[in-house]
Amino acid sequence: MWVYTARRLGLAIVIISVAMAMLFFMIYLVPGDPASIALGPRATPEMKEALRAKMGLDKPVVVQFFNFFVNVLRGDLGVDVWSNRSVSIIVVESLPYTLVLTAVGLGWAILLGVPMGCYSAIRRNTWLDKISGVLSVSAIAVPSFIVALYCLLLFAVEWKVLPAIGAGEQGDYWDQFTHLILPSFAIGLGWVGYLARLVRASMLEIMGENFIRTARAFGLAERTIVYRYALKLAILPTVALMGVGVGNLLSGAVFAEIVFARPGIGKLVYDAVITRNYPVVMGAVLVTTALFVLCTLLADLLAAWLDPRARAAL
Amino acid sequence: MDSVLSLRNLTVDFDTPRGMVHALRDVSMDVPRGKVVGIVGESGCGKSTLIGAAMGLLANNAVVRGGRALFEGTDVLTMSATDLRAIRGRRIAMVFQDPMTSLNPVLSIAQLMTDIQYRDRATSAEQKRARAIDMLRQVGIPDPEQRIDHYPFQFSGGMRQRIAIAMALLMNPSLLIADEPTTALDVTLEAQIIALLRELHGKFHTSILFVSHNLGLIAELCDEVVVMYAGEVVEQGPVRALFHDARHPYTRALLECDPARIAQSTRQLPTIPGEVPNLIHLPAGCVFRPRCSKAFDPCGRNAPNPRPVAEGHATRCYLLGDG
Repeated sequence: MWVYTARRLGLAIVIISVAMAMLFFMIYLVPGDPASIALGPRATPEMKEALRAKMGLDKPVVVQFFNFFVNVLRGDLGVDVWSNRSVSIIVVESLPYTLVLTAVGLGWAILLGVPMGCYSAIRRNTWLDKISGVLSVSAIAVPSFIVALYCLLLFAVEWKVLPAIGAGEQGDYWDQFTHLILPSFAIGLGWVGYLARLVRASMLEIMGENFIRTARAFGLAERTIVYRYALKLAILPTVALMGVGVGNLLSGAVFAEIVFARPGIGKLVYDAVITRNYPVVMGAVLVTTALFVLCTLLADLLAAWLDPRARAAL
Repeated sequence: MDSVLSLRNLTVDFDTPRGMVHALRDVSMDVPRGKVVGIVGESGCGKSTLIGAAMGLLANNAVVRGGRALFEGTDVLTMSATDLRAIRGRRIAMVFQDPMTSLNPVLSIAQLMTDIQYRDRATSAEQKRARAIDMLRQVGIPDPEQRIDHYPFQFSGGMRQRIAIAMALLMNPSLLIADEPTTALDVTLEAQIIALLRELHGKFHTSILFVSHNLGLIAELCDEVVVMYAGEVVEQGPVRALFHDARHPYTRALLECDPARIAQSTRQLPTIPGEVPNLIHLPAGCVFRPRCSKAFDPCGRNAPNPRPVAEGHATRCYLLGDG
């Protein structure tokens, strides 16, 4: 297990490094000079030169890249071109909003998707299974922005039961919670369908296994058989997939934050891209990438830890 | 005679897209208390259906056309799901064919063996564990105190089958059904498992219904034998009578085909010519007639009824007179 963890961790570091390099060169190749943008159209060439030197943009690319790497390791993601605030602080301020949104989106997916898939598998070919199948496929097929817009239209505009925009009052948890419902549902719905299909398929496979027949032959309760003997195995592929799912939900959160005008990483990147605030774009994307890699790592480790066969083999 | 299990004229069909499969026809047999009864027959002869009926575990497309499956006097075929569940694992236990797939891979032996004891609410977790360890020791698992926390994949096939036997005997059932428990094992392990079953039978006096296609194992372990062919019991009787005085041509042919009984070295092993009949469209008359070397006039007309050979020994064959 430790060897596997170490190897997986090493791989994660390599992935993040490669992502960092790609990010750096992408930004480097984008036309437009951050110094000129920061100083505005009326800056003199001398002023631009001075800022370029201050930002290290006059050095060779390799040196710039190295400096970028070292700074990131020190937790320094540069400064906001407009406000001169530290990007690290700006990102850390927005991060909780996005994390909470993603987590609640994931919560929807697990709380609705897993029981739905389980039920479908046990009550296979009943009309409820068929309805659940149609609903799942629809949930997967409908793009999240449609879901988001319709949610807004129905719950916020038409019925006025849930707030439309923002993240709610600071400190008022109930208000913040009601502001979370619509955006998290919008990003999580597709995954509800996805998990339902996945869990159904693995449950059907597991319920046909010999050891389920053994459990029946010992007169165990159907509840025990389904949740203890079958689901524990059927959930394994789902756990491994959730790593990818979190990445998907993170990118969903970006657009949800724009549609619902919520603060968060997505909103931050969106605004920064429009204003060509490169350090902020880079910092935010880097943190998101690291987060994604971390989630995949955790999901893989969790899946391996849950399966004693994998646990012992690693 | 006190029978733990007695099947009476049991007839079971399977409703398949290709037609009705007549899997069991008019099967009657007994497992007397404290005895070991062997069922022998080739693949598809209805052995598994018979076990399924005895456990109340028939597939959903099974249709019971008639007969009864009495376990300790109660018909399991008409029992409610709740009552059936109450019997399974406690009064009837089962050991399956393939120990590599019949144990849950993500639960430890301790968890599996504690789960089986779920009915004993008064017993503490420690007591259940101690009981499981004790049973593991009795089936010959070395170092059971440590090994009980291992998972099935950490045991070899033979050890897993010992664990499966320990699980089956844990609740001290009155009937143990062993469905080809050694088929998936190699020959040395097979001998060990048979020896273990015999030892445990001597110790617990559990009645055993032992299913196999290996005549040697049946001869070694069983008191009585039921020979099945194409969904019918063609011959049944005490083990000695059956091996020394087989009357049905199928039983005789089976015995001749047993490699262990062939005296002369030969390049060609004997076989029974022909094929097992299609269970959807059964031949008229005796089911074995198309392959029988001794078939004569009456065999094609009606299926023969069982007729007695000696005390407890009966066969379905016209060679024993009209009956």
